[in-house]
Amino acid sequence: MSEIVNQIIIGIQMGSIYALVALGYTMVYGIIKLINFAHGDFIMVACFMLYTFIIILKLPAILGLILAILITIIIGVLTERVAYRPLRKKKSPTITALITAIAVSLILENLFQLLFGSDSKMYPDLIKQTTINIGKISVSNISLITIIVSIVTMILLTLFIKKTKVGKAMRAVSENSDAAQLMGINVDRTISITFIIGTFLAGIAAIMYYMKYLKIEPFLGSNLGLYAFVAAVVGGIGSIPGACVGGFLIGIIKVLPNIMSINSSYADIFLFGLLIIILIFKPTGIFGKNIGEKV
Amino acid sequence: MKKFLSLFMLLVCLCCFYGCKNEKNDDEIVFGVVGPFTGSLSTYGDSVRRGVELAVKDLNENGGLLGKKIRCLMEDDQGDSGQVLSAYNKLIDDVDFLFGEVTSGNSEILVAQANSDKVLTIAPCATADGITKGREYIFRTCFLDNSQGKAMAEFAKDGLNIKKVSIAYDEADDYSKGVAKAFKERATELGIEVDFFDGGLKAKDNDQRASIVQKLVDKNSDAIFAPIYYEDAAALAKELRSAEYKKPLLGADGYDGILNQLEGAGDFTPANNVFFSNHYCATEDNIVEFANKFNKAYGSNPTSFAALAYDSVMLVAKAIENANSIDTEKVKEALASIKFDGGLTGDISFDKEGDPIKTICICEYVDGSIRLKTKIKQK
Repeated sequence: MSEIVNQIIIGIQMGSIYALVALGYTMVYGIIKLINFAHGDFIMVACFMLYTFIIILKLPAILGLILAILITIIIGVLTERVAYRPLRKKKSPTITALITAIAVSLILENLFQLLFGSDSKMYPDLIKQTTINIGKISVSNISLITIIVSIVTMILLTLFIKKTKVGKAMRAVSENSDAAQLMGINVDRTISITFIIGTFLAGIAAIMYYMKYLKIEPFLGSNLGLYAFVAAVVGGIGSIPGACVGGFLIGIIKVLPNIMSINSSYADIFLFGLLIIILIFKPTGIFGKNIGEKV
Repeated sequence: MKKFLSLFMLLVCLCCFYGCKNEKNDDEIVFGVVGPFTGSLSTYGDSVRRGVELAVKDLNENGGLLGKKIRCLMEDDQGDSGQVLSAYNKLIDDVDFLFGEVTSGNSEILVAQANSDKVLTIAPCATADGITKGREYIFRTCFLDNSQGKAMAEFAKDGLNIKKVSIAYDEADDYSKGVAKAFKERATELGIEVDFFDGGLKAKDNDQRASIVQKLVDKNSDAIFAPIYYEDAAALAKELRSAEYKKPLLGADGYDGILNQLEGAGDFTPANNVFFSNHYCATEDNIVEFANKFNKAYGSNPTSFAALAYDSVMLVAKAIENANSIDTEKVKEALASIKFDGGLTGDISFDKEGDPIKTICICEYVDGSIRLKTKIKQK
């Protein structure tokens, strides 16, 4: 029994990282209908920035965290400015933007491989990992921090979108960007803010990843990005609660084989099997709205 | 008339090409090497090339073989399976003995052709089954994947007195899977209980590893066997130790390099109580001497691939001396019955397939240095 609880805790901890990343996918999609495949790589960028500031430049950890998040945000916003905005202005088809996103992802991966080499880097613990034992159930302090930080972030994000003026603008642009513009909302600025929030979340996720997994490599974003993307789709892409629920669901499914005591190389089969089933029965995802085609 | 002229031109061309061929001197022996010297596998190819070069240099400094000097011909196949045979064809008319390829897949292509052309070939580091099977002109220097698994199981039983073991490996990797299966089989024969056997430890999949680490800690067996590569193995060791699992962690030759990886983490203690099988142990005198020589020549430390290549050349050299001839058939006979002692990678003789019977080193990490724990004679 305690083994199962331990696995579920690991699943929730993984899930909270997926959820933070999935939020980035879902927000960008909600606002400009673009699946930003480079989003997973923003996390890789943030991880390597952490490594650069804390390990190579030996800055104090807090300063390193802040700088890493700032640089990631700058790269995210720059990506939008340089690669996505010109396409949007030209009203190019969705597929063009999608391919551009894949190109950005490949550029980032290969750039960081050139800069840092392709081998994985290990580094001293950011926070010393300790295990808290309650009976036979064991929770590591890092898992606890990850789960708490991501739940708090999700609540803050929801409040931000529901209660603030900028949040209202984001919702308006997401619903109908032309109408929003007529109402005097600066659409470009709102989209930039969305990218800032998305990459900020990626930065938070990167810190959690960096603390937990002890090693980073230039291609870590592609796997993480894939799982988070599935989380966003399963939850209903464009929906914020959907991304959170999707993230936790994917985390739990990843540990499901170990809960059931079967070979854990089945994890991906379960995961993508679920994706197919959900897409068949509810193509818009768990929280997705069914929007009828307008005639 | 036109037809005749073109035929004539063709003949002239052929003659020209024939003239281009490297004439081989009778007073030298030529060793050929086919391997990936450029491309993504070039680190392995370069190791093998340098091992061969160093061995040939040593032989020539000691007066060559049978009074003849040895010359090396290298041909690059870029690690591309499509180019292996063209590299082979470029070499084959000029060489007496062949060394290569580096990876199991490309070696298979190379040795199949070499065997049908009756070219005596040594594969220095191809570990997959079947490379030498039914091919009388093919030998190899490294032990096979499953020998490592068996040796580690024997070590777990006799050296560590383990009763219950958990096994985690990478289902997507043939090497990892082969070693894990062989270990499991032998462990069961020896009466060790295997209470966990999981293939989800995929390379670079950090999330899945976290889940498996928790499972391994909860199982709390006497030891864990996880034959994976050093990058993930270093993280695995660190995560297990952070989760208070201090019992032995066992692996195979993929663990060679964990210390370099842990250096970044600034803490070598996770590697304590880690045991793994390897081709040699870096602390033995002849290895230290080899490493110094290698370092002087190339400015880097040798890998086990370089040591295997060095031993491969020395094996052929000894066989040539034993046969007192460079005739392929005679050297083949000599190689089949060779007793080669004091090689870098141990004492070597060959079974009837051409696979080596040699000792496997079991190494141990102690506070950031490597130690020889024991040697196991494989069968």
